[in-house]
Amino acid sequence: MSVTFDFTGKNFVVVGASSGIGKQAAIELSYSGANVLAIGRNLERLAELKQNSPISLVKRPPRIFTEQLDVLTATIDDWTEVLGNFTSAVGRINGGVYTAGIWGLTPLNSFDETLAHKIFDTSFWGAVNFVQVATRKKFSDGGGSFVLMSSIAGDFSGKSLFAYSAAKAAVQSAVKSFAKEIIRSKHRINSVAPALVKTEMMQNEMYAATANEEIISRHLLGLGTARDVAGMILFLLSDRAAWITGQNFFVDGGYIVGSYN
Amino acid sequence: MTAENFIAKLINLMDTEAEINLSTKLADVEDWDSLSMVSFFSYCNSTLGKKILPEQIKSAQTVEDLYKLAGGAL
Repeated sequence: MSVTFDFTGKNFVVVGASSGIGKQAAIELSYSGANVLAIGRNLERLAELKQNSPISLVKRPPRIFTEQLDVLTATIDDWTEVLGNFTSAVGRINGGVYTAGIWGLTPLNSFDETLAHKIFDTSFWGAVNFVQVATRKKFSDGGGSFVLMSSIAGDFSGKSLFAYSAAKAAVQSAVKSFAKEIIRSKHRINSVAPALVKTEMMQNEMYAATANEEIISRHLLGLGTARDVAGMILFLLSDRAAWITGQNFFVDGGYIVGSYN
Repeated sequence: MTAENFIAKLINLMDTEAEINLSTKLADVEDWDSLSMVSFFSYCNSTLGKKILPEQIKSAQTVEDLYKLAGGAL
């Protein structure tokens, strides 16, 4: 039993595509026939995505386009330029996914202010800039679908996580407001909130330290993979989610119910 | 702000693909809706620091009326 999506001839943007969930979403979208603009900080890893993705096995040229952009410093003009390059090549987009995010501990009494702001700027402000530019008529066909990344931390925070949690909660709130504005162009927008997922970000030492046995055991289905989350993202981007907007979806391996008796 | 810059800004605010000039009647612009009015209101009050009232925006008939509200002189 499997679910496949057909995005043939559709155009999608994935921000934060050089690793983790973004990379997986970019690969699966491309596999499903879409033209994908993969945006990331690291050009080498984006190039790798282009060459080593499973799509090189299918009998058509890879349809992953890449652009280097640092969401921390990107201006509206920078966003306009990269989206403009893509849409002049393939036509207007049908939606996008924003997965860029960084993780870090910010204990109330000793947090690094620069890090705290960076966490917020990457997860939240970068997403705001992306949605503002990507939903413009110039770049988007009406009826597009957009997905932003939240986290269970947005609802269930832990110690020393105020910056990350607040940024992820902010994403959920902004989605509700954006949904009301962009419906004008019949666009939809939702957020996805995963629990612990085994990605490169999780190799972060501090992250690993926080993911102790107790936390891990709360995941009734074990820790997640990027693929587990990408499935929800592709669903929300697809026509099957045509009646869904302004919502947040937990993809948590049972974490929330596993957290209490 | 020149009229040209203002029109470019307004096109952006409304996210419209319609042809706009100073004499364009707002009623003819499909994208001049309540969301565009709020965008224009917030642009004048926050970005330009020009205090205007929602009623003034509602009573504007042409793009030129908006330009005057935004402090543009012709």
